[in-house]
Amino acid sequence: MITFLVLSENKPGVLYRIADVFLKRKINIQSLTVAEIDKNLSRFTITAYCDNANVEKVEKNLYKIIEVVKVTSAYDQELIFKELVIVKVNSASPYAIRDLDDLIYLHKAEIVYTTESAVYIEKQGTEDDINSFLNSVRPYGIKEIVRSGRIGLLKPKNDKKTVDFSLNCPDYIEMLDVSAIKKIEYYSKEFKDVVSLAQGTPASATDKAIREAAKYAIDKGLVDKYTSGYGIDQLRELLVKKLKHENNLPNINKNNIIVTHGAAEGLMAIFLALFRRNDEIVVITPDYASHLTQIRISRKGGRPVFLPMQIKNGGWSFSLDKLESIITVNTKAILICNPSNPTGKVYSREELEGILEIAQKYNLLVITDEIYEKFVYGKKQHISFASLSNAFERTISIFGFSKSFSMTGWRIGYIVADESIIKNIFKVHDALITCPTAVSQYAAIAALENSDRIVQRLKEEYEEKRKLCISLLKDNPKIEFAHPDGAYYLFFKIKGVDDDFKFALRLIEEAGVAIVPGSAFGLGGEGFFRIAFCRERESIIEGIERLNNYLKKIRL
Amino acid sequence: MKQITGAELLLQKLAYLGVDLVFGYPGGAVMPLHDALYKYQSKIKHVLARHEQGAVHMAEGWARMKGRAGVCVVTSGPGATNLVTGIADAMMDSVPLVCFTGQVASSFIGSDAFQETDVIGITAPITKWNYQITDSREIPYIVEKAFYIAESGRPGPVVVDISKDAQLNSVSENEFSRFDKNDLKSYRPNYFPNMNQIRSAVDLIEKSKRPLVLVGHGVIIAQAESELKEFVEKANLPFACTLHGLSALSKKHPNYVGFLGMHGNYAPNILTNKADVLIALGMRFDDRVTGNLEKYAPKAKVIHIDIDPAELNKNVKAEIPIVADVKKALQEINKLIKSSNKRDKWFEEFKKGFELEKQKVLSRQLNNSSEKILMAEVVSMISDLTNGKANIVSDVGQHQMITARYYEFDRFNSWVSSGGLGTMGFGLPAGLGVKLAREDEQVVAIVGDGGFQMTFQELGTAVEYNIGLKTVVLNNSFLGMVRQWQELFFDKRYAFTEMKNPDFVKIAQAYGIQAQRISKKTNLKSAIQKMLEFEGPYLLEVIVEKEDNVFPMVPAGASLDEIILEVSQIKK
Repeated sequence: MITFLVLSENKPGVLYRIADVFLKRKINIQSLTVAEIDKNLSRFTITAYCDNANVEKVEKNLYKIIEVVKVTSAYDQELIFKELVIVKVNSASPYAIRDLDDLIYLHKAEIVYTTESAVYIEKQGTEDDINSFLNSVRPYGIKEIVRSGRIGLLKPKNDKKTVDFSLNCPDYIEMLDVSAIKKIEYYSKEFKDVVSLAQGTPASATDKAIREAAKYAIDKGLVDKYTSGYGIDQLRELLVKKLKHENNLPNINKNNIIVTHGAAEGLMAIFLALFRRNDEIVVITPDYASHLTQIRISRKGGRPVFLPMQIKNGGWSFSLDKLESIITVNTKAILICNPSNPTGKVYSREELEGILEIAQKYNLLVITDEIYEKFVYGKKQHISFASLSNAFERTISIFGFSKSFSMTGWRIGYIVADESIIKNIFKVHDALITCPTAVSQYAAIAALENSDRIVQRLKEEYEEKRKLCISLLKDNPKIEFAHPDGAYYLFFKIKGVDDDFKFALRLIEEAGVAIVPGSAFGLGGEGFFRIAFCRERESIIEGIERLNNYLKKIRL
Repeated sequence: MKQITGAELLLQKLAYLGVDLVFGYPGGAVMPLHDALYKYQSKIKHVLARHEQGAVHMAEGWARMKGRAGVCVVTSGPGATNLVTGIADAMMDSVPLVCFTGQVASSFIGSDAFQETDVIGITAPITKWNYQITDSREIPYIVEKAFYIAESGRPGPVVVDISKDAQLNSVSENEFSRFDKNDLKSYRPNYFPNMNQIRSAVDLIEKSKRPLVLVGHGVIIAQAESELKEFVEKANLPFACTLHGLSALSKKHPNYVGFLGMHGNYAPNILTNKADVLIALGMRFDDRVTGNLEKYAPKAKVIHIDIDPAELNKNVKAEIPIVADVKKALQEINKLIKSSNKRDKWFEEFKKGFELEKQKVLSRQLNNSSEKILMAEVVSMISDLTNGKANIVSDVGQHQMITARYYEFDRFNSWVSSGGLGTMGFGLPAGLGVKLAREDEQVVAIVGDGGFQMTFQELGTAVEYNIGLKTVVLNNSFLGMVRQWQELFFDKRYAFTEMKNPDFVKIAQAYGIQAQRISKKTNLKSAIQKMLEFEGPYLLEVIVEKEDNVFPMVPAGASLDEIILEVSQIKK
């Protein structure tokens, strides 16, 4: 498609003559927009499919029109262009409204008017953006639609980016932001003396026994070749033992396990293997940001459905009724993070059984990310979802070594599920990584062999840091939070903050502390912030002190 | 301040612009204008045509002789629509026209009033510019703008539609703004060539071994006869003319190698494909000139000079495109180009080609022993008897090609024909316009029996204004060109091309015009002599061979290489 940009005097009949230049060559005009841009000067943007030989002829003949001042033709890569659509969408059901909100957020659209049964949504962007948006709202029932047609401006000719490869990128990828956590982490590095409590990177080194085992494996030449894609047998046998005893999964065998390149790869393999574009995954939020991103990528922009939690009676909670109410025919799975990043929520048996009941009723899968399983504080207990009776067949559990053994750099995690599910996930896993890193697998064996000692030590460390955090923050009148029962994050609200992302940037710039804004974790996280207390003690003290002092200083 | 009507204001403006002749036809919506013309008779003559199409072709003929805009004044509705053919003709052939069309009163516009029609809508695609005036105060500005646009750059037709109330309403004489061509934000015809391009062109021409100059209508419009003469002589270049390029420089010039196109001369057509450089001057590579574009001039680099940028690279890719007035561009080239005496061999090839054509075509056409008269013989005789110095107008068809081929144009801008649109019926009224522009010169309109019958009501105009046009009707009782194609490409199925004609001599006489009919060769010379010597309008009907063909011919869609000289070469 070619775009003609025409500047002309604003006189009667010019449009007629312009249209005729196309008409007499039998070129159909795809879109035409025009408005006065200055006194007596109009600007047309016309798009048409037109072969190269005709482009020059059209351009020259447009120029021959006495009133026409300037004509340019351009391909998309030479242009900045946009179009506006206003679409009236059926919103009769409460589910529709909620889903639409989510969609509107994802597509950066805007509601401009609402009636009882319809919302008027405005969306601007390229034709592709708009088509993609329209495709996603179509299932709700489009009642009416109007599009403005393209407007465009030429990019400067000397712009080196004449070929803009981002245009070749699918819009659902272009729309994704780099995770807010990483953004904050990068941004904080631009400033001197910023204490970062953003990313959940444990301060402690990997235990010496693990490192020695890895060295030994290297020296013995055990790690030079591909291993089984599922993970080496010895590791999986140890995992079977662990799962039986620590996760209460008595019937497990090594065919239920895939060792993955960290939990992240495992999750991606699960999403890619099991979901169609229109399948819905309910995510209880606030939730680990990468879950949300992975779902969007794997389902080509298809959205997760958020079930936001609230703080109630000092803990994060959700309503099972609400969960059930958002299940639709398209719902295929529920995803939980237990213990939860970022809220620190540890799901109770009642809650898990409630989820299981709904999953059974509607025949849903349950994906349970239990990467923080070892870090549960006080009297709380971690219960693996798969251990509930009759839950295993529909449960996909993800575990990992990163947190439990302070091994984030080694990238070892594992998926546990029924063999019928495992077999399909394996196909994707095999395509993604072939096999997990061999040396890390030997390290993981050593970790499991020394599990009790290492885990205990880390747990005590986090227990202590958690107390420290709570004590440092609890007296700040501007801060509200529910005590985390698990994981190693403190998720708190700063009263009076609306835009948590902007405020997080402000904290880096003005307070010298980097923490993660809660909106990165989906609905329910707005106005909240996350501190990772797995980091160095001194950092925690210094960081929180800076935060407290800063909040004292400013008015919100 | 003195109050005058819009119509008078318009006439004032025309007089100011030097218009002294308009062609028109009165009617309801244009009555105020004609009323004002009545008052202004001493300054501006109004020629009443018998049909608006006649008026517009007269204006075209006049404009082409004068190099200024021809003016038409007609009424709304059918008056305006009858102009359409002529306006389209002028658009194709770059003829400056300003056509004033009356329009119903502005309060009636859009109500389907009597004789209302959307003239602006109808004529937009076939005008260089058009405008509807609904306020008398706009008149002076728009009129001046209309003439400027029609006459400047690549000339073309302009339509100014004026509502009746705008013609009638009174305005104070000085209550208007003057047009300034700088008011036009972008329409700034580029007359001066880019010197870098000129230098490259000169370089290419000097290095060329087999150059060919293609002379188009632009050379005549730009009045570039002497520049062209200097150019072809100094650089020693062969030149050929398109249909409208004929008479840009005498056919008797030693460097003239012929007429281009479907029925052009053999040598320039076939040698176009051997040329190493084509220098195209004010021409637009019409399909009748190029034949099959893909096989056109495969060895040639093209220097294309035209004032209309839209013509450059439209049909033929130009290595050196130059947007400029041909006269200015040639002046610059002539300053730089070195004289050359080379290229004898190249000229020799044109001579050989000419000999072949002479043997195959010319000898048969001009030295035919049959009693019957051939069209070429008539044209050749007129050419001889006028020594190539008459103004020649043709209609459209076989006789047009014959005239272009056999009349030895020796005077600048002495040839008028409808080229682009190919409008039958053009010849007689255009001839009247030409005669009105050159009252003291010999003007001969050569028409066929078909085209003549489309507009012969204009004999009335000739009589009324005593316009001494000599009309030669070459009567073969056929629509000859179509018949030729039917013979060559449709197995001689003469579908609706044979005509039972009236007695043209009687018709002329009924109008009070002197007329004669001849059918024998022996009478040809004396009859033509008699016609040429007669004062006043005259009609000569020549009964010619019925199934004569025009050769050479480049069949439609064929390459110039496939030019044929006789029927036997036609591929079935």
